[in-house]
Amino acid sequence: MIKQFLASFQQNTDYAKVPEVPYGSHLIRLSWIEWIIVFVILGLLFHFAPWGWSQIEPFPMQDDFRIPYKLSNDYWLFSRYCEQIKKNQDIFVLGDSVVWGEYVHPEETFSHYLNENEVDHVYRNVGVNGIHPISMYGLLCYYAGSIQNQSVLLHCNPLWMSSPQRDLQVDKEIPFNHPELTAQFFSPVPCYRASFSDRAGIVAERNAPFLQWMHHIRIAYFDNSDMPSWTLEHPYVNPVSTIHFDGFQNSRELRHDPVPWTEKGTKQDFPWVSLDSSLQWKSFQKAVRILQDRGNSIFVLVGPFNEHMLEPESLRQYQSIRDKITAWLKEESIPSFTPSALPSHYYADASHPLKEGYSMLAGALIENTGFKQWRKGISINSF
Amino acid sequence: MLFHTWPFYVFFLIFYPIYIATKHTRFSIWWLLIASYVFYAWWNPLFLLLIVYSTLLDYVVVNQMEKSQRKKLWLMISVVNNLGLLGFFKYGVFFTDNVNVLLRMIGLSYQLPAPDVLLPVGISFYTFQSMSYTIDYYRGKIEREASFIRFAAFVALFPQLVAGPIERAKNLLPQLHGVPRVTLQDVTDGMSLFVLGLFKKVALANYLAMFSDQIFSMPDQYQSPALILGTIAFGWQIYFDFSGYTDMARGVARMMGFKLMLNFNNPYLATGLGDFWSRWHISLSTWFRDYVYIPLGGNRSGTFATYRNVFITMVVSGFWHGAAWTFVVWGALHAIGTLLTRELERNQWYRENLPRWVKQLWVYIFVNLTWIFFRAESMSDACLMLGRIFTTGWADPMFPIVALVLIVSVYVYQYLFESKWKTVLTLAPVRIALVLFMIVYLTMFAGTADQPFIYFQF
Repeated sequence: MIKQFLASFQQNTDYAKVPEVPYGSHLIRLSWIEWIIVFVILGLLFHFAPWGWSQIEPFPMQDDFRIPYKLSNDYWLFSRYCEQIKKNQDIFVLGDSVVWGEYVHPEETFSHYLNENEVDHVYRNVGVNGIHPISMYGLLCYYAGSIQNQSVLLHCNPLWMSSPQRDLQVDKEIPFNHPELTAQFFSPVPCYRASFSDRAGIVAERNAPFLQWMHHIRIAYFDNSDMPSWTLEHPYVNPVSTIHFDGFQNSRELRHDPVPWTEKGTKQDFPWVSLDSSLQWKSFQKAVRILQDRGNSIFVLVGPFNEHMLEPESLRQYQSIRDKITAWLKEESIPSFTPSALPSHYYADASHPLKEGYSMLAGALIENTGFKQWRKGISINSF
Repeated sequence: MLFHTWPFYVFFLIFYPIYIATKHTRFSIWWLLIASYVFYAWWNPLFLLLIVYSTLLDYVVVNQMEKSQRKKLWLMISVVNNLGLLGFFKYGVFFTDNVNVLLRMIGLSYQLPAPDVLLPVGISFYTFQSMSYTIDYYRGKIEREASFIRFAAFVALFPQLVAGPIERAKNLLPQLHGVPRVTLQDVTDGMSLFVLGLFKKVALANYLAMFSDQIFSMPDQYQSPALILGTIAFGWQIYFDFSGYTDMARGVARMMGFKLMLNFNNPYLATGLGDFWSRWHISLSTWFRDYVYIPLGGNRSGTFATYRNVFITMVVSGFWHGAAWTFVVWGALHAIGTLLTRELERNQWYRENLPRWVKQLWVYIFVNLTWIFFRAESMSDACLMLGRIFTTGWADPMFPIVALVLIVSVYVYQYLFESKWKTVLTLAPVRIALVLFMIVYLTMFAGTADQPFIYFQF
């Protein structure tokens, strides 16, 4: 057998006998020239369609605009939003639902109150609902290339380190937000169990603006469904008729009732993970580095977490983590502000302030000396 | 590994350059076999044991046939072994269930334990392909294949391993001898076939499955219009699914320099049931013709014997499709339809005066009604569905217009292909536009659900 195998590498000159069989019961058969024509047309279409679409689909920058909740996974739109902000030389306020404003209207968000206190700059709400540091890093890597040489106010939410589940370090499969933004093949998070096909599809989409644009169309106009599923829900509607060009308006609908946590919740005993072993913290550090590497000027806001909600032991652990975060930022010479906790009734849950909380937080930040210096630095650099 | 998923594309990207680079050496046959086994083991590496066993046994059987005077005995060993494998893995549960019902009926409390085995993917296809080799050798139609590696590659050739076409040794083995001829035309033809197959599967079959699955899972919840459209949707779904797989298989094979047989030839344009079976799953129907119908006597022993042989062949063919009584009934209904149209075709007026489209329409309706038995979860569901089609009133079927437009477009294309307007379809702009449409549709609109191929379960 081995001899036969080794002998098989010798040259063979006898051609195989191939019988004549009908090609098919159709005439869909292209020659190589016709295939080239197809590839050229597809290349042009795939290259120019997203660009063309961005020219005709309006995206006006409204005051207090935030990416609508239902478009949280529309990274193509996120990309466009970042480009607009860059064009206007506004300040990116980057973070998760704390920045986005989970319990408040667009005009009650953190960025809104910053703008109220500011005359020189415009702060833009670039919060993405549900984005944890691991996915934030992916978002910055693949979809935020335009955040370059910009000013970024980055929020660090310690909530993501409050348990092994939130830190995504458990081995058993758990659902989590924005899995498309996490590593797919090399050192993926332990609780991520997508099939090879799904992972390959995600990697393909990251690298193909055309696929990102298609994802945008599905999310923005077809309830995040593919066309077949959508037509089953709307059998007699012409799919083309659902596409509109009204722009993306801020929704007035609240995701949750803006009620203080004290009226609905109880104290929590979060089993915080160690910062040294935290995947989320490592990703946050990587996110900071990628922003720095792209020449951005960063200011980090840490918390403020709802300390009133924590049991004494949990509070002690949190404070230790918070102090370590602050120490690392100082070590890296990254300007930051770690405010003390807001009044208890200004929180809706463990990490989300209510509008009064945002207002107070924005006021405190504006008054912070380090932040003032940072803004001054932006002014010097930008104007 | 499914043709329309990323693992296959990665697999093919690794396989193909090495295959082309080594095609002038005899290593290419080794490489082909290794790749085919990897392709198959992707489902479950344990399945490999079965295919290697089946291959080895048939290889040894034919070797022994050459040396021995007792050829028939060796043939029986091969047939019993192949059918035994099928019987155990595919029909084991069916037989034990039915025996247990019989035992209960005669008042015995003893129950046979049901075999707890997985059905190996494609077992019905490769056992038939392997068996055809031993039978053809026994009949003196082919030469013995001396190389085990080549014979194993013939049985396991990955493009057609799990869902056909069921190739005959006479057609495929000579193609495995010598250097594969891969011309530019083969590559472009392969790509054309693959894109068409992909479109049929991903854009059409998976789409229609979403509707038909709803209907067939709860037939008692729907009224006549939805039941009719669900049946029609399934009829097109299974056609697109299976012929799509075949197109992809033939496309991939062509890119490798192999020409696999045509398996579907616009079956819904058939004018009789016999015609339908000469257009639907051609490799299987010719297999049954050559290895069941003709050995039974074919049409050589009078009308009654012919009818009996057609009936047995169709019922066995039905049973091949699945281990359930619904498949047996489906086969029997097709036997009745085949005999009926055979008789009608003897009538001169029917043959010459009845418009072609009327014949096509009634065959289409008949075939679709029989699909109910093929697809229904049970006999009672099939009867319920048939009953409700004829007894319930109007209710909005909620069938997507887009799906209807796609089906009608395909039907019109096939109709044109078999009409005097065929030349329109040969025009380069038409062909290019169709390929562009398919690729753009696949990229932009096709569903994301990972549906397996229907025929994998057979």
